[in-house]
Amino acid sequence: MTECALRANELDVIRGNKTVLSSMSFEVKKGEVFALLGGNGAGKSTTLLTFMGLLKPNGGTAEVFGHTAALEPAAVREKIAYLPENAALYEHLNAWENLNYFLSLSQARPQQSTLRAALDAVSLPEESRGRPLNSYSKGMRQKVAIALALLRETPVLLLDEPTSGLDPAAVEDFHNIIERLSSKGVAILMVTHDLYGACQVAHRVGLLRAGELVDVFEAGADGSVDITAVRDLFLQQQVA
Amino acid sequence: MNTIALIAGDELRYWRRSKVAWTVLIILLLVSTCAAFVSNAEVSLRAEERLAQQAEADAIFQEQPDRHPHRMVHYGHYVYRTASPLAVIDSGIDSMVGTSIFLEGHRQNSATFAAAKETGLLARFGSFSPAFVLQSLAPLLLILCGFACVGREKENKTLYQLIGQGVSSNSILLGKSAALLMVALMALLPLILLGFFATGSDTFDFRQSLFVIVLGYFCYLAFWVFLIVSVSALLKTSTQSLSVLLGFWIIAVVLMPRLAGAYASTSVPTPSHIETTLRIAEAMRSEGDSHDIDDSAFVDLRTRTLAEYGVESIEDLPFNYRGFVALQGEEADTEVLNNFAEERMVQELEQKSAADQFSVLSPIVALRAFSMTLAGTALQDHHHFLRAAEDYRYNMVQTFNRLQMSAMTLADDLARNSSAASNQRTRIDSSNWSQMPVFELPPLAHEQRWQAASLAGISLGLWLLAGFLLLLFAARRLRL
Amino acid sequence: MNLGFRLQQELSFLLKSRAMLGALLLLLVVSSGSVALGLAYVSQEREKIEELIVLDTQERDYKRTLAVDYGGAAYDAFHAAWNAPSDLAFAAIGQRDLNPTMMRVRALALEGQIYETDSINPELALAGRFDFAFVSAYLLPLIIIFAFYDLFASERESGRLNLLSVSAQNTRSLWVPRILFRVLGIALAGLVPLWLGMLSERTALGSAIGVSLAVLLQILFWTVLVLLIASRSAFRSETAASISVGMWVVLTLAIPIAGKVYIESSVAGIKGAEVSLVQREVVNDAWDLPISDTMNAFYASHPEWADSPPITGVWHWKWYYAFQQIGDETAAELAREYRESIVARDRLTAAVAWLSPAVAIQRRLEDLAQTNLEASFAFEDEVRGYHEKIRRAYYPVLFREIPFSQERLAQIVIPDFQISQKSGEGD
Repeated sequence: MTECALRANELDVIRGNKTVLSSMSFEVKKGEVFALLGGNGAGKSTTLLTFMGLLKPNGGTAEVFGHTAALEPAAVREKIAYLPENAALYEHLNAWENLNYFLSLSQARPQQSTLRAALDAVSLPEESRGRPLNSYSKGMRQKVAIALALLRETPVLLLDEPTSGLDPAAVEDFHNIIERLSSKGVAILMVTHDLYGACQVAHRVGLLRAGELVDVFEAGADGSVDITAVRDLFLQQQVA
Repeated sequence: MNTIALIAGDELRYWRRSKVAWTVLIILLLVSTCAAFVSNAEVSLRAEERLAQQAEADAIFQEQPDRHPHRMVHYGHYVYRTASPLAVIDSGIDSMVGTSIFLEGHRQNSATFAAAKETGLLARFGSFSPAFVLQSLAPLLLILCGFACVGREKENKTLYQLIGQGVSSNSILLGKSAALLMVALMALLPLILLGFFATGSDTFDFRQSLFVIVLGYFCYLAFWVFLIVSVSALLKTSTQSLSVLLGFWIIAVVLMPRLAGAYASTSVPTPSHIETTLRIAEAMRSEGDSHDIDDSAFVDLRTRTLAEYGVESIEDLPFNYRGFVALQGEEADTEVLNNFAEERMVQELEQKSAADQFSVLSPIVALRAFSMTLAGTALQDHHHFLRAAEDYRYNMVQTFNRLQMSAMTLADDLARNSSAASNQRTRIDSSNWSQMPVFELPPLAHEQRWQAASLAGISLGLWLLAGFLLLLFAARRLRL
Repeated sequence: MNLGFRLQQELSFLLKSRAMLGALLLLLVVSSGSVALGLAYVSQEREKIEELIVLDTQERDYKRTLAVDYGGAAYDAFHAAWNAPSDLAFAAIGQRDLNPTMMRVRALALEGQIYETDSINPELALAGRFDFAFVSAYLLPLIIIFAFYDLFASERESGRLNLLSVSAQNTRSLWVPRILFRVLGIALAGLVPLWLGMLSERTALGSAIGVSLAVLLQILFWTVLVLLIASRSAFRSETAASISVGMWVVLTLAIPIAGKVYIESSVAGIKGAEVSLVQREVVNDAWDLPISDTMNAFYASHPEWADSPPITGVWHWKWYYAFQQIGDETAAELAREYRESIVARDRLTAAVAWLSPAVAIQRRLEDLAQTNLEASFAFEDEVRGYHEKIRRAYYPVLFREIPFSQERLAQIVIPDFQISQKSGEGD
């Protein structure tokens, strides 16, 4: 059996008097892509924050390779790369500078060639790399953020709405990268409200409703999750 | 017009709901009201104190026994400066200049015992007067209230909705300005109230000056309002607007007045008090000592006087020649002294106008000059006091010198230190002292005051205009 | 994590922030300007003192040639006293402008002479000095507020905070270098001009260290205060800015001004003019009293001259000087009270300094630069001592009634004014 990279164990998160997550449990194995699908306010981003140790759960644990996020945030973060929604990077710095700055926070000076390889991998146009990010399109920014996540070379990748606002070609590129990483054994947890994308790229799709994991769909033989089943349940809960 | 009112109303409603803006408004109103009361109490206390001191000095002077008049010339008199009633608005230089001058013969003393000296370090942090609140704090609070007024709508995208609905960008910015101007008016309210309860406020003069001063402050605050709204409209984010506005406030309000002062004092250097005293002494060497009628400096005078009266010796003159020499000597001395004093005042005014050049760089420099001049607490008013005190001194000394001329014989005067009888005869009746009119500071001529204020007033108007043009420019950029 | 790489990245991050660089440049320019203006002021003061010494000697020598008696010679002989600016005065000009730094005294009653101040342009004085003390009390905190108010909020509001936190593994390695570099930049921009100024003035090492420490303490205080405000996650960056600026207004403007209003009302009724008024009364009343009354009173307190020959006429110089001195002695109590009430206000100011860092640093710098109230009183004491010397130099010829001659007058030599090194200790 493959090793378990991420484990949510009866997670409870209460903010004020609102229950954000209630007894949520799931696992993500090495090399597996797990997508959490849910509407606005279902608790998707909260789940990610809990795994990064940025939010302490009121009950239960979020574990990364056996380390409890709330107790050992440093050990957990060493294993995690995170792709935030809207690819929030420094607008006044160019791609190289952004990568260098963020990498300096966690590791030794990377080779210029390593950076170049990462930017090539996300196919960021050569001529834009030296320009500050405030001249970039949303897709280009996302590419820099993905490059950063790749450079971290961590066994776990957390993605927050990775494809929102991207054009179809960029989405395609992105999915290819995800598949490549997963085949290298990286455990990927993505949260999204993009039903089709999730079903296409994930091995398993969990459906989140008001903080509760309602159901988990496994991928079929063709490598993707049956979209109609997920959609029916998704729409049904939206109505309810 | 209607849309402007709508936008203004909307902004006011937003402030009512936002805690920060609400707090800022309350602080502004509280501080400016407190300043008005504290300042009023302080100014009336100070005025009472000085009136009492003047009365005491007058009483002591009038109670002097029979004396030789020249003794009274050296005994001298004290005069105290009373502050203008409008000092409640702007105490200006009041605490920086001496409150009293000792007036005596042959010398012009400087005003000593400045309040700031007696308070020490804290006097340098400003005074809690309406002027300080309105000049320094009000713009800051306006910034905190309004820096996001347009930026907020940009960030929430509501701005484009407004424009999409056909509201012109001019109306948007004017509406926002109108809302902020209401705050500015609120800050001015206590100032207007002062016109009703301050001591001395019941005169036409007070009300008239107050009205113009309030107008000046309104121009100043209106400039800030236009600047705040324009910056908020021109810059991308509210945080940027806040940084830029705070930066401008620091430079314009905190730095510029001091820089102006430093520039003025280095570009127009003034001699030290002692150097002037020494130069006066040097200039006076040729004047001779008027206590000594045989001083070689007065040979000419003696010949001329004898010829004029057609007598052989000074003993035959119809008056006491010693008193006459004292009179002539004082006149000559005073001319020298006045030349130096006027030179000094000209230098100080040059320094002032050098500092006032910074009006181009900061509206607060213009406003300070405007406000102090109209409140009667500017440099000119101090000079006016010095001149009035000098006039009083000269008249007093010459009155006594004339008494010396007419009330005793030269023989007695010369023998007063050797014969007790002569000494007695040279003492004149003490009623002469009480007949001396008491010192009163005549008001500075209106034309002079308005003239001095007009230049500052014009620069304030230009700043207001510049602010308005910036607003129109920002509105055009917003449309694009 | 590699520390060298981390620091290098953080430094280049700082250098890429245009707003921060602008603020540092502003601080550098203003700090340099204040030091340059301070140096100009101090050198102007020194020039004035040199000029004063020359002019003063000329005038005194000239007047001596005219002398016909010792009393008259002493009457005309003014002696200059001066309080040269210290090696740090350029940084904190302090109370030097309103308190006398140069004066000329003669053997007459001192209370009528010692309160003469230098003529200042009141409108320029009102605007306040543009010296380093001002920069460190007013501007430095504002720059610190600018540097730190949105340190956390800007990352949070742009959505970078989570990514930064996850990338950094621990928060210390993320924020400490960033804060450190900004503090370092502010300290250097503020202090380097001061250090250059101190080099050119050859400031004593002790005061140089003292003033640097005071400035660093001020930076530390404001950095901690602003970071405390900025780290409240409930505050948006604008809220943090408003609160920080509000703190600045309270600590730098409101508390000192409220303190001023308080100390002026709690130690009220300071009447300096009273001192010179009383002294004048005594001096003038003497003219109307029998000469023997004055002389007996004088001999009672100065028995060393009691064997002086009796005065026969209605006028004598020694009588004149005797009542001048009695005038001083009568006003001494009031003069002491006058000084004490100013000292009492100063003590209250020290209390206000505990509430306001701006007042505290001004006081500290003025203390180090010897431009504070204490220093001006020390100078006043020096002048009093010097005045006593002048009196004692003339009294023998006056009270022994030595016949006048220019040769004998030439033997009366009063050394130039000199500040004794041990000012403030005993004596």
